[in-house]
Amino acid sequence: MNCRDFDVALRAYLERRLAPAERAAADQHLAACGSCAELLERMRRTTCEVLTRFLDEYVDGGLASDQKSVFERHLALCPPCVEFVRSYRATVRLGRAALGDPGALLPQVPEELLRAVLDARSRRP
Amino acid sequence: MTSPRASRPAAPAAGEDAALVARLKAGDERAFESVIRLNGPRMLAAARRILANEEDARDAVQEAFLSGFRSIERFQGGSRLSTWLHRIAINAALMRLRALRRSPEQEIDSLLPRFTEDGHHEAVPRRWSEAADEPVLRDELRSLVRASIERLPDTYRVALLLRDIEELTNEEVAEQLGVSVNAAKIRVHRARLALRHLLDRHLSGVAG
Repeated sequence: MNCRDFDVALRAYLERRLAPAERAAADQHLAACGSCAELLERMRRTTCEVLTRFLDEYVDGGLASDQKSVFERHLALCPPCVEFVRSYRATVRLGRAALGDPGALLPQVPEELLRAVLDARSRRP
Repeated sequence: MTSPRASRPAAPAAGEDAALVARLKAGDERAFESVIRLNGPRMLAAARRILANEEDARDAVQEAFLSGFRSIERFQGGSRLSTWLHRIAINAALMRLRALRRSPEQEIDSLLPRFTEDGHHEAVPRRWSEAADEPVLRDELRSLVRASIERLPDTYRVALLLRDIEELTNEEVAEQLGVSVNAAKIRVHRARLALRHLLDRHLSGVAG
């Protein structure tokens, strides 16, 4: 097994779905390949909880590219996290849509407020 | 999706901004009036979001204009006049909110997601209704989102308003709140998670 084969088998490896012979081949590759072993370790560490903790950075585009790619691999394996990320993005969008006032719809500044500021300013220039 | 900024009235170009500032510095009464008419609505909208009471919001904006006009000599033109005044209004509203705060802050922990020991979601997240994706919110959903934001503890509600509605950067949120950038980021993120939780049972079709 080479790195490319391992990449394809990673999901099944993590989910313990590999046939014994394939699993042995993967283990043999892992023993010899530091970068695949590291990827596997990072995937194991990136639980739903970890993904949620750094979700703001993922959504706002602040994650380093290697971290982002591990997150995306997690998402490819985890439908509940896909729904969570989707609803987190929707939450931000809904907040904006519910509270953001498009400028065109903003009322004019109340006349009393305008006068109050101008009067107070002229009293204390 | 269009940016909310796109629909706002165009701010004066940098040259016009400089001319207006020069007139303010010279004490031109008409210039003060123009600045209030031009910037007041957006400043008032921000103050209203932070403060529940209309009178408090107006007072905060009045304070902001007076404070801005008093320090106009120090305005260097490093940012737009409108941006500068908007930040002053947010600051005035936050100071008023702190002064008004009576009851101790509620906990947010009960609104945050929970995980099993091995790091999985305790409650499996479910797909939200398509209503959440519609570009124009139905009135019922708009009311629900507004009421849910109101339910957030002030510390978190304000962080969410500054980041997601006023569209400040994390650094700017930190500066306005007087906390570290990391603390500001955590507040914004927790506020979004809590708001998500409050909306979830309405949008995921789970009764409760």
